[in-house]
Amino acid sequence: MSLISIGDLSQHFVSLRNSHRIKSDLSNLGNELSTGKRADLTKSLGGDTRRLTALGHSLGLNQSYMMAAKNAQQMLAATQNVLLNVDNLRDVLATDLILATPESQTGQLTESAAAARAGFSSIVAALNGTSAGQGLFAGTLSGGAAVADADIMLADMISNITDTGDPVVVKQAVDDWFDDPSGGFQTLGFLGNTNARSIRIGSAGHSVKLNVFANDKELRSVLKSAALGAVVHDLGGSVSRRDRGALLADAGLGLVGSAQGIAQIQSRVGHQEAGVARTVSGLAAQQTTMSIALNSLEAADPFETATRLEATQRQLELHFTATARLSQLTLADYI
Amino acid sequence: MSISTSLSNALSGLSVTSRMAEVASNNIANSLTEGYARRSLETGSAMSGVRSLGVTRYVNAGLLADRRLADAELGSEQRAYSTLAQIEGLAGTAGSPDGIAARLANFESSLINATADPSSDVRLGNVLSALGDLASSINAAGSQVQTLRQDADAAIAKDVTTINTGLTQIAQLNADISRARSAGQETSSLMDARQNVIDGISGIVPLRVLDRGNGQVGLMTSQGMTLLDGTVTELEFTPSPVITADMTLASGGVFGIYRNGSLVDPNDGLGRLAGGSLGAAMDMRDRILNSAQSALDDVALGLTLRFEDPSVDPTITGTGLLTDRGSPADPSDYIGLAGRLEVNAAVDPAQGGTLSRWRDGVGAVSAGPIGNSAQLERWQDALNTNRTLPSGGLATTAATRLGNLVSEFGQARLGAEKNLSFAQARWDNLHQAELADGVDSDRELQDLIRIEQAYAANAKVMQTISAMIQKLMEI
Repeated sequence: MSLISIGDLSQHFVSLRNSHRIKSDLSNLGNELSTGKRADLTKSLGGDTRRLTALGHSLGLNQSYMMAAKNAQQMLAATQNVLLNVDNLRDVLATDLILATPESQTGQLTESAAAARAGFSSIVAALNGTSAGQGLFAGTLSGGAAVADADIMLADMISNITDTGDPVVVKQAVDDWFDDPSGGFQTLGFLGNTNARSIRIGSAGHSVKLNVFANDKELRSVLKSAALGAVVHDLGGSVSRRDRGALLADAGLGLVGSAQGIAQIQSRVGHQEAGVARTVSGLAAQQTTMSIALNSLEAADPFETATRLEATQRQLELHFTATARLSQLTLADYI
Repeated sequence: MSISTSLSNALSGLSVTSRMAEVASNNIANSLTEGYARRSLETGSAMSGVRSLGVTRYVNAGLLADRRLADAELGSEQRAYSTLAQIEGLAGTAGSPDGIAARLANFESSLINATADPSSDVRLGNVLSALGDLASSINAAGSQVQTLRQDADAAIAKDVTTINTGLTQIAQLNADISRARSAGQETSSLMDARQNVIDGISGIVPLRVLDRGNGQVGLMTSQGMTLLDGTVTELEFTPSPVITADMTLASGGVFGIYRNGSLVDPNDGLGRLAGGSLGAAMDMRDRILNSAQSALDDVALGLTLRFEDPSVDPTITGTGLLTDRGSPADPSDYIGLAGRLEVNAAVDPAQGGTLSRWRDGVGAVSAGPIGNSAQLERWQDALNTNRTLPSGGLATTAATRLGNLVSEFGQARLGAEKNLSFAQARWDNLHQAELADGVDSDRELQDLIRIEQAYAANAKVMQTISAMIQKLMEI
């Protein structure tokens, strides 16, 4: 290396190199300030970005679980509504039918039978309830009705009654139609299946199972008693006044007895609702925690970035001043 | 006679100082020329007066040799870094919202949404398009790797052409310099030109310049392959314009470098030409990009096998949700699977399938209950079970494997960036030291002042001698 002279180009090269370095720092810092995120995440995390990727993945899934859980809450709430409705119908009908005795007036009995007929239709309609187009009590066959039309069911029941004069036969026929595993209700009354609708609301198989079916013993008991009253109405004159009174009273008792079953289903659904609500609040808390963790990995501290930006700007100005001054120092000006 | 001797002394002084002025003016004119070696005139005393011994080029040979090796290292690191940065972009940088990892999360989310209402064609359509997006992003990554290999191959071809042209030019300049020398002419600008040509190829392979006397040079790579020594070595390379995943050096799909007709090294096609940007390009094409391809293929295979498991989808008759262009994946031969990954046509209405198969299974013949979300849940569970690949390794979930891939690519790029900044810093320092030996216009101007004074003094001597002779004439 010469001790006498230093080439012009070396000063020029050094100045260019420094200017490039300061300007690229400046542009990076400006970018960080504008986007709020660190410029080169891989570098700032030291190369191991697996935790960042995993957090992003979990946050995305968390939001989906939230939405699914809210959907589940909707379905469960709709189910509770229908159960309440069915319970009300049962209660009203029960109060009416309990008053019937074999000694009651024909007119009263006719009215009670008509009320039973209407009540049966209403309960069937309620059990065919939907939420956002999906059936609530039909299992996974949620595209269609859960229970067949009231008229069709009653016609089938009546066709199975061998002796309309004997109230015991009538009641037995209706009971068998509903309770027999190969009876009319299983074959043509219940149109759904007993596979539970399942909504995924958490990882590792955490799902809400919508497992109230129109086929459940408790709901069938309500239908059975209401159907008995409806059959009495449809049979009309072929049943004697005394028999009519007896059958309607039986129906009323049956309706009163099925209240406990409905309450049990409501309690079961209520437990599920509480579980889903806990899951939703847990998911919300997880979302907050994960967002905070993600921010700590990704976000650029605006104050620190602004300070460094200011310092770099000052440095660039000084560098320009130095370059200008040095370029003015040449022997040619003095000769 | 002493008076005429004084005149001839003064004359020689004038001619030498005017030559010195010429050299100084040449230096100043070239003060911005990179690769110009500062000239100076050597003078020595003659029998009578002064004589010029010739123009010397001031070159620090050791520094130049170091800087040339740094050139090669810088060229190699630059090429490695730019390719690795592009590889990092393939799977998406960490945290990027449209990387492969984000698309996998999106697919899983759409499965969860669909369980909430499996009867909804809209939600099932979303699952289909999310899986389609995932498959197409893996496809794009796979085909981009092969494009990068093609780019590397083209870069090798260009480098080989540059070396060949450069060697021919250097041989030509060698001949010109030796001819000029024997004719007694100035060879400085020819040597400058030769230095520039050598600098032009020093980034491609690491070079050692050998002095062969009489102004001739020979060239050798730093690992010992002779490129120029009297005769020019011809390097040959056949480019492969279209490269697919199964084309490797061993399979004969891509080629190595030939020297005077024979392959330089059957193992890596490169041999003792390694160390510069040529070596880096071959390394990329034959090793680094291939391992990136197999990493992507592993991810594709993992996903495909998860969905081909009969315990996940009992209706399978061969292909699962993802296929290798319509066929099941073959764990013993899946090179390039990333580029061939497709969604099974059976679940895509646009290809003759039905959306109901998302509920009933890929091989389902008839439609099942529309509220059935069990299959959708099984597919989501399949993504989250820990599985190993047939090639071995830890058992991980699909998302973890992708996260590992993204992290590996990122770390490779970071490593290359550190190496590049080290090579750049070293090159900058050597280059700066080399430039410091260049033309300093202040010094040239100062020399010119001195030359002017010397010229004036010599001229004054001539004037005085002439006056003395005049005095003699007046006798």
